[in-house]
Amino acid sequence: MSQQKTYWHLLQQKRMPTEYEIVTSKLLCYTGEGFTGKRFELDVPLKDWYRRYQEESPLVCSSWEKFRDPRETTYTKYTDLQRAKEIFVDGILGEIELTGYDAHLRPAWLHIFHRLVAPFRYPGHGFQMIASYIGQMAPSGRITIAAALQSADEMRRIQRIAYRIRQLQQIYPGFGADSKTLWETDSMWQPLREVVERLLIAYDWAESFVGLNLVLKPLVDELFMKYLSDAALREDDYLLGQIFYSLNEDCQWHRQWSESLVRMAIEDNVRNRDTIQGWINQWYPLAARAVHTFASLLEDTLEQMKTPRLKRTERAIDRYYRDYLRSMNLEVGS
Amino acid sequence: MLTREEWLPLARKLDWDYSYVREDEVFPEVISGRPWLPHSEWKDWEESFKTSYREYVDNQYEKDMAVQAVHDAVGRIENVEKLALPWLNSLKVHAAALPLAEFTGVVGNLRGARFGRDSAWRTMATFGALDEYRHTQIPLLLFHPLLRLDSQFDWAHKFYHTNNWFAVAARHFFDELTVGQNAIEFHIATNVVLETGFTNLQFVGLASLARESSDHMFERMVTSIQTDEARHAQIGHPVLATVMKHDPKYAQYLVDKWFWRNWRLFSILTGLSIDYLTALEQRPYSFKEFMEEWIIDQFLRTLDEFGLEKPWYWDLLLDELDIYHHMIYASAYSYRATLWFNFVIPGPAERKWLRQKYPKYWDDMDAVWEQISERWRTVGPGPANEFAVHGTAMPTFCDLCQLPLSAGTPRKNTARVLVHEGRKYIFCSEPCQWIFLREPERYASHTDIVKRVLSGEAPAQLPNLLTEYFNLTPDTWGKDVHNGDYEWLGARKDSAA
Repeated sequence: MSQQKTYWHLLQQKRMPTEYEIVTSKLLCYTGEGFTGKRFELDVPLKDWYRRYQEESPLVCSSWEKFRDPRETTYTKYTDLQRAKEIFVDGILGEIELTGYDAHLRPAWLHIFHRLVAPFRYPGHGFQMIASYIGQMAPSGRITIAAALQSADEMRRIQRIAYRIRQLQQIYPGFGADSKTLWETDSMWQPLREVVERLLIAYDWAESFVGLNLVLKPLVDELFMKYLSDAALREDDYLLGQIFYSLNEDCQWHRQWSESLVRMAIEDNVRNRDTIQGWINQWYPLAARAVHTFASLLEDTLEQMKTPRLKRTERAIDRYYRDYLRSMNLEVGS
Repeated sequence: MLTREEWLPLARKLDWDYSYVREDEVFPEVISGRPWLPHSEWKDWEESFKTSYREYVDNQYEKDMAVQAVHDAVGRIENVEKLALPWLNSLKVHAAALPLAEFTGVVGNLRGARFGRDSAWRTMATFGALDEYRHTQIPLLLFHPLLRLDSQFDWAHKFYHTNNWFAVAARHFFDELTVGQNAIEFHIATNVVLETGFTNLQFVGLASLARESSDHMFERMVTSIQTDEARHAQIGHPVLATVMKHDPKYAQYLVDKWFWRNWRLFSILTGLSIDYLTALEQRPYSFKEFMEEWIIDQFLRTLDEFGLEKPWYWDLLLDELDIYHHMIYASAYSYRATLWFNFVIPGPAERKWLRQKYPKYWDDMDAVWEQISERWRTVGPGPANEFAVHGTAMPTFCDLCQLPLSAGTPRKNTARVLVHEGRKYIFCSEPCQWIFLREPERYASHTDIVKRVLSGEAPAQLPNLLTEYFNLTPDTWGKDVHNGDYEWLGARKDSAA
């Protein structure tokens, strides 16, 4: 027998595959990337669902297998990376407990934390659900993996906020206890809740991806993980800023892999640009309204504080978002 | 630092009442599963592990490092070359069956992570998805270097992408179990039936066989995988409890159906490994003994725990423990070129052991092996004579499990014919027919290999079928590991080509 150097589907590369290639290529069997050319072996309960929301998606590609996560995140690499980040965050949380840090936080800032950070667990969970949807419906294994890891990152964010709330409850009993009510009724949260709920039922897999990863998350993550984190620093809650800095690293990767997917899709078929742009135009107004509502409602509270008016933040986020889309030859919707 | 119990509850229960869309739009029955119940019926969903993300990445990283260390120490080609030939072929079976099936589990768990009916369920399913990514990755990585030793290991990735008859059967199983399934049926079938029950066969049973066979790499791999399975398998239990409360008949049906479907698949995957592809002196128990101790007893306990009845086919199943995997192995040996691993004939010592372990039907099976042995004696050993000791007629497949009609005994086949909406179907057994008739909309349009040959989709000539449709090559198709050259057989070695 002749010596075979790699798996059948990687032989044509004529070089040794990377570890990422070995563990992530052609992992889905029903998409017609193998020899069967079939979809499902039998009439599974979700056959029509896949036909409608995956096969008949307006976003098309000659082979979704061409997508590569720029970070090449294998499972081992993921746990290694995230473990290091979690050790860093543990250090901060430990410091908070050791130094009695929470006793010195200003009431005005605690109010912001209570109204703006604690309820974030709910939309965060919505993000986790939508990422899980993208992953299960994605037409290639590598997209499935990226979305699954993103979903886990959202869980990380929720759990770190939960931990922080419990720390604050040790000093301020009942802190954050009304988060669910705020999420469901506080006028500040309603535009975001509306877009999360509507995006949960946007079932075309690619629309779900565009709505979450190209519209809602870049805007919301930037506001919360960057600008709110900057505000925390200025309000002397410098350690929350550190935690959010670490969580924001996850969000940056979400943008990076999304950008790779968009570039690949447009390179493969130029009409995909219009399809993606159409969805951006559709979802941007809802998402922008959600983000801008926080900005304007916060102005009154924050004016009394050291934090600069968030109008500027709003403009900065818009500028950042425009640049992000422009890097993919896309634009902010009208 | 705070204990997990102090803070995790604040991260686990995050459902809310929808205002801008309806709950049944967010959780449509077709993809969430039935019975469709409002969230108020699911809000107490809980499981016992309550793992945090922080713990997860830490533990999983450590586990991966431990597997890597064992691989570095004993997973090199020179270590694998020392393994007994039958065991090496058992490895090829599991190498093929495992990684891409695990990946369908990523999709299934992501379904639970989105359409599971409570946030704690969805959170645990997110870990489940990551676990299954791990279980895809580890075998693909560990088996990759073995390609240089033996290109049959190519099937670690290739298997599910082919139209090989066993791949058709395996996809028929996993497409329904995971990728194409709603969240409720997925979690009950996968977590409660497959992972609480049958993966014990794969992971506990095989781990001990691997240890006996000095295959420490495989042993470590499956043991490490099993620790993840034990955690995420818990997701299904509270799901089943809720379905049991609202629709006990449906719960009973799901459990009965999936226990049977699992039995069919795993009796092959594991039955062959334990009773044939492990050297006699390294078999700590028979497949039947292992089934009785690890699967049957545990399954009965699970049924008891939920107030479920024994499946109606229980006596039939217990009877099959004595014979089904023997029938399959003999058929598979007779059609070994249609598979991607090599086979061994049980010799006198093995047959003595098998007779002792399976007194009920072994005489019938022994006659089959005697025939095969006689055929080798007649044609003589050697690779050139492989096809002279090989089936030529096209076997028939069951229209439910897609496996050859091998139920019953060599004397009495239990195949059954059914005409449904004007089309003729054949089933290997009564439970397979029963499953078909409960949900014909899922199964009726499927065409098996024989029908594909008849319709011209697959070639009719065996060599063409093997290469063009089953994606095998002369290098990779299955052979007798000794090409019929067994000392006990007393065949004429000089006739070897």
